Amino acid sequence: MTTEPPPIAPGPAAERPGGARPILVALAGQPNVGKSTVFNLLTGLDQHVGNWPGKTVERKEGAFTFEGKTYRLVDLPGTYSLTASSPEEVIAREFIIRERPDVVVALVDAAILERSLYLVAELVSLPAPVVVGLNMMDVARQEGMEIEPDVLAAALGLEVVPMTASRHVGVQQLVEAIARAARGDPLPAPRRPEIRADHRQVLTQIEERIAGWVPQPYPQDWVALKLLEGDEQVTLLMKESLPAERWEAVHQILRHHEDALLAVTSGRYEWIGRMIRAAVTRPRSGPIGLTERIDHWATHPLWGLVILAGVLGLTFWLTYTVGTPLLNLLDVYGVQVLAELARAGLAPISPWLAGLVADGVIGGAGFILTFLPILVIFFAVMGVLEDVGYMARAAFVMDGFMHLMGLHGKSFLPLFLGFGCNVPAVLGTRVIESRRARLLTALLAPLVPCTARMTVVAFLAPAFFGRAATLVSWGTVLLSLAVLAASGALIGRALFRGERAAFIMELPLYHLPNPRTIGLLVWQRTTEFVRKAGTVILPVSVVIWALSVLPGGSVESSYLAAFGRWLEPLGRLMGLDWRLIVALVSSFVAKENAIATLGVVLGAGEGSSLAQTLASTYAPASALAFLVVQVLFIPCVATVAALRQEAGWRWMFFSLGFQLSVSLAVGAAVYWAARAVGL
Amino acid sequence: MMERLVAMLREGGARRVDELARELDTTPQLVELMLDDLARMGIVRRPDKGCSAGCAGCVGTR
Repeated sequence: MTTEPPPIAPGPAAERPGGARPILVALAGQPNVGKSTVFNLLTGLDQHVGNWPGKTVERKEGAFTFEGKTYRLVDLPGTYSLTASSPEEVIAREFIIRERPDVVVALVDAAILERSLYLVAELVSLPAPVVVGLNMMDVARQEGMEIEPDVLAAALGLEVVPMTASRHVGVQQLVEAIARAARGDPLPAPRRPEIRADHRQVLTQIEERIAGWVPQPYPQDWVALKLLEGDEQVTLLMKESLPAERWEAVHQILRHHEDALLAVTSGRYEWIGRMIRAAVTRPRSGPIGLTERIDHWATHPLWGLVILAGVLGLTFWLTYTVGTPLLNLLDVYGVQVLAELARAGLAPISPWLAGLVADGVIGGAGFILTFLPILVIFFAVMGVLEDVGYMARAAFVMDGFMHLMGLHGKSFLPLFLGFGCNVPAVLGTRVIESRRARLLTALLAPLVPCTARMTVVAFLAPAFFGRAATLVSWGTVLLSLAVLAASGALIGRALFRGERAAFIMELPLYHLPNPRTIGLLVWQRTTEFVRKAGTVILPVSVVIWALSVLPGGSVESSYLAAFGRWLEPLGRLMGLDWRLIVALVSSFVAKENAIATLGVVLGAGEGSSLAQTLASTYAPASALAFLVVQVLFIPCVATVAALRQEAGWRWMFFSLGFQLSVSLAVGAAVYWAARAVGL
Repeated sequence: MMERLVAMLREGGARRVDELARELDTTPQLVELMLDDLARMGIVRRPDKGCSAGCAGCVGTR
């Protein structure tokens, strides 16, 4: 605004009238607050640039005259605070303590007042009058902030000079304020930050112990405060200055209050908060961007959940609508064709080998791979949700529910992955930082009904229940989720016992999905599944097949059947006969095997004939019980392997035992309840 | 104010910075500063900004 130079005459002190000692002014402030600009405006060409003694930090000194008096201006290094952690900070505070400037000018950035005021909070604890230069008022105004310098001055108990140094605005007023402060007109009465109330006693204790022993020129109260902060330089100073017993006493107090730093810092932030609240009448309004507007709904306590339910529903719909036809295609044209080829080709050589390859290998493992389309689509949709940034909001919204199980929202992602496949779900617990939360989530992941389990339900429910199939399907999903929640609450309480880490949720900005990132994600998760399928499912699949044909060649007389019959007494509790038991056992390899095994033991092929056979063989109560047990049963061998990898043998066995008991118990309960209502 | 912030965080759960600021009757900028200091003091652990890379940042770290 003003362009005429201020009536300050820069120049060497010797030329000035009067022989009075020049007034020493220190210029303090954080980096990039405009100190150089102010310094240059005041001192003009009369500057000396050198180094602070013994350091590589630059030192600038200059002079100016005003109303007949000479002022020596020293530019202190830019710092955010006055701890002992950097040479710049030590230089700045040592200068103020040792040289005792007549005035300290604290230059503050009006646009980032919170940050800039921290240094002022420390400066007012030092024994020098402070004048605040509230610089960059233009930037603050541009950001839509309104600051009242007078109110700030009243709150601080210091003179506050609004400035825009880059436009030479306020510099004159600053000099006038410096002159007044040097005169002691008015006497400085700054409102100092106070240590948090509960530590005031401790501060007094320290002050009493060090009284009289603090070397000049250090101020006693400042030293006491710094001791509580754990300041290295001050600690060393007092250790050397105090007699041994006194130091021991102080040291004891400090050791006893290791949280004192928090109390001191807290006091400063409280002080800053008060200043801001008083003087800033319209705080900076952040960009109400698209992200915030969406989040207003996405993280809303009610609507956030509604949106989440909608998004999840959409995910499943997409997955099954697009994936199921692909699955069928792969099955009919891929696996079955291959199996027939193998049978036809190998049968002449050895019917046994034909069976092994066609049914054991291709039928078993191959069937797993037909799930690839569903998984890929599911992972792709999830990948998009994650990359766009929505998953963070989902975790945020689910956080409350997760707490019922002693978990955080962060566990939501791996658990949700479980709907696709439990293997990446268990492996995905790696992102959770707390070991206990990681363990609990890994134990709960197999309780999430994966696509494989749901396939069995999807196949069997219509077979047994006709039009009520959808109801039954949804019912089993909800039941398993309820069991999940209950198990989580139970185990969570046992594992955690009150330990509750808080965590700060960083919600990233929404952004357009990156196909490459998503592709990588899908690839990683799919290959995890395929690798497990290949290395674990394949051999086990062969073994089960072998057990189902040995020793006689027919299922009825096989080892597997014998095993099933042996377990039949237990099975009767849930209305399951040996065939259903065998199907359950075979589902250990892969959940879908249950269907194939049923087909084999009932002597029917896959397709509606199996459904008809099932419907005529079993009562609805048994069917319902079987579905429930199937959904809650121990996970497939791939998941178990993943569990062992993530949690270790002991927890793996615990998980197996736990799920076995839970599935049988709930199955029995469902059976008897169904019987009771006449099914 | 800082001890109230710590107390709020101790309650557990996911919190947003602007919510915290509202409850503390201060600005989000000051809350961020306090969180930085709390992290420096080891009272709070800020995940190394992994979420700004989208969730892809977390998967596949063996």
